[in-house]
Amino acid sequence: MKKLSTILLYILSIAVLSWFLPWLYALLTPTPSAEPFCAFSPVNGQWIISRSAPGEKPQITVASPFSNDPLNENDIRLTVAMRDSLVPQLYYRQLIAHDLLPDSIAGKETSVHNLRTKEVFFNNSPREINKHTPGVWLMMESMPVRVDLSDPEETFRFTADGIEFIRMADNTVNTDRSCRFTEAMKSRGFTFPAIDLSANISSKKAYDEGYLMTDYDGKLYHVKQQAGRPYVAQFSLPDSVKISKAIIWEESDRSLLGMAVDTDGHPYLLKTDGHLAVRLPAGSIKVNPRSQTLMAMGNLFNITLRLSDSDGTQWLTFDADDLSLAGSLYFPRQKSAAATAARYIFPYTLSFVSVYDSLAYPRISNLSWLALPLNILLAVILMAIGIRRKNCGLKAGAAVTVIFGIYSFIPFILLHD
Amino acid sequence: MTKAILIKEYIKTRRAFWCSLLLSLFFTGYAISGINRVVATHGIEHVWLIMLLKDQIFIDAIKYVPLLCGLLIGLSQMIPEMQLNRLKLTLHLPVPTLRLLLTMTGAGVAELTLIYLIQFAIITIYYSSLIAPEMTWSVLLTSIPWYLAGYTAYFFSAAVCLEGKWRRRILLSLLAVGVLSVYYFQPIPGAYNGMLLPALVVTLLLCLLAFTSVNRFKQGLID
Repeated sequence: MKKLSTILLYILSIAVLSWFLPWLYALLTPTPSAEPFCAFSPVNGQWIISRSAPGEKPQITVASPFSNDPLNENDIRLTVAMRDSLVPQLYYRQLIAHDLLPDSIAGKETSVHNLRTKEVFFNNSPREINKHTPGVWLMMESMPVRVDLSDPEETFRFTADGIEFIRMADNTVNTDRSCRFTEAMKSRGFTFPAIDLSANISSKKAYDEGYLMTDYDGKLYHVKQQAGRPYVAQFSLPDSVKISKAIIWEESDRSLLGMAVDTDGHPYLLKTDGHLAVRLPAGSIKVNPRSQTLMAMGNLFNITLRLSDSDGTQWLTFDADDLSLAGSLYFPRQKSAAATAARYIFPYTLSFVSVYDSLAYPRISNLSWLALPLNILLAVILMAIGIRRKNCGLKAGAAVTVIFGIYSFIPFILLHD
Repeated sequence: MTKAILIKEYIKTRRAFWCSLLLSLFFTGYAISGINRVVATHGIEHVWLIMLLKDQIFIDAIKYVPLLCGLLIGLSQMIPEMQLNRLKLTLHLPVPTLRLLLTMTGAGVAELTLIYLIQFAIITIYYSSLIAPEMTWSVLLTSIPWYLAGYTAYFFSAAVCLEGKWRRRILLSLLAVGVLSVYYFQPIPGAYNGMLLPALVVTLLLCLLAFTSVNRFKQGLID
């Protein structure tokens, strides 16, 4: 029992230091984030890349649609005014202010109305997806009596063979609405319960399209409440395709309902008319909203996706008319000097939270063999002290330190008797 | 002998126990009155909306109360043992050391459990009439790490008090801060659901920490 309690003390110390030391190191060595922002120009058919570092003027460069080295492809440097003209879909307000907005670009009329109604700007963080949900969701009224949307009055849950609505006012089940929705969904082939839901619950948005629901078989449905009645529509997809995650947009461009990703990582654009799911030709690039931060920018000319994860950032742009792939850029994540040095000090990093989810559990990352020389050096020091003091505990600590390095060296030095 | 030890532990901790219970009831009442205020001013639907849209559970006021209770009972139970070298007398009782320690910490854990159960029951009963059972369950699961932090604080405070060397006391206290902070990293409801069982096992194992300190005392490693 004595040995067990001592071992527990050392394990706890190693675990605590495994997250505390890397956390402290990161806190003391902040690095500026200089993530480039890319936009595809409908004027010259090239990427316009803007980078800015703290205290420096923005650097604006041009890159070909499928450039392998977008940051160093050429020496062309653009001014902010030149960028505004090349990317009118983003900076049209600036161009209007200087009376520089052309009447048409690439054969499309560039009126403010046209530009605005085709705008999509949507961000999705994995933190919003990877989190615990209580199993109760809110349902809005998509066709309210008044012009403005109002806060939902009912929530719903899934049972084994249906959907059940609960009145929030008195915490009771609305049997009538539950039966209506269950029947409507079953009649469209919905298999209960749903495995994924996406909605933007807010009375401040312009309109409500309800939920994108993935049923138990991976089929995608559009479900909303209109004048208290169910509206259920299934997206046309091949039988072999199973949807993993769908994201509703509800942006200015009402012709687009959102996007979805199947279990193989292929992205689909969801069109409101006819409930069509059109596969985006992203090639071998996989999309996973559960592990990637996703940004979608749509406009009159193109639809651009930005996919960021811990390895890097992928930009993809598709033609707005035929949805063909018009450009693709990849920026690997640059490791700072401090992060590189950390790999020589810490054999691994323990953390309990992540920027990619809203969950807490122990996770080991940044495994580094480069820390092995330091580990061995610390182990030799412990062994030398152990031999000198004839302390078996320190000798055992030396063996442990070969693996755990600085994390075990400190407790063995401080806690031994 | 076990009964005598339990009575001794109760005598030492009775004030801390009642203080902790009052503290716990006060903050539970405060949290509930906060929810009642929201219901009265904005309606019950607002509570549902905030809980489902803003990841709020309305009982943040009790977040650190279990930790405080654990600390209070742990200190009130173990500080007297170290005064006037009473631990030496305790260890001379005709009971094996491990059993003696487990009885002592068992008494503290029982008192804490009673306080936590009362608080837990009040929250459960209150929320059950207000919101859907799934949401009540989510609130309760969110609060479990706080109670585990309370037990952790208790076990560490016992180990720190029974430790005789100040250098090691400081190290144990720093370790306690490190372990306790894990339970407060992620404020999102239900974030800890996946690690509740391992965390419970680790928390139970922490009762052995006091055993390390007492063993060092018996070996003469402590003055």
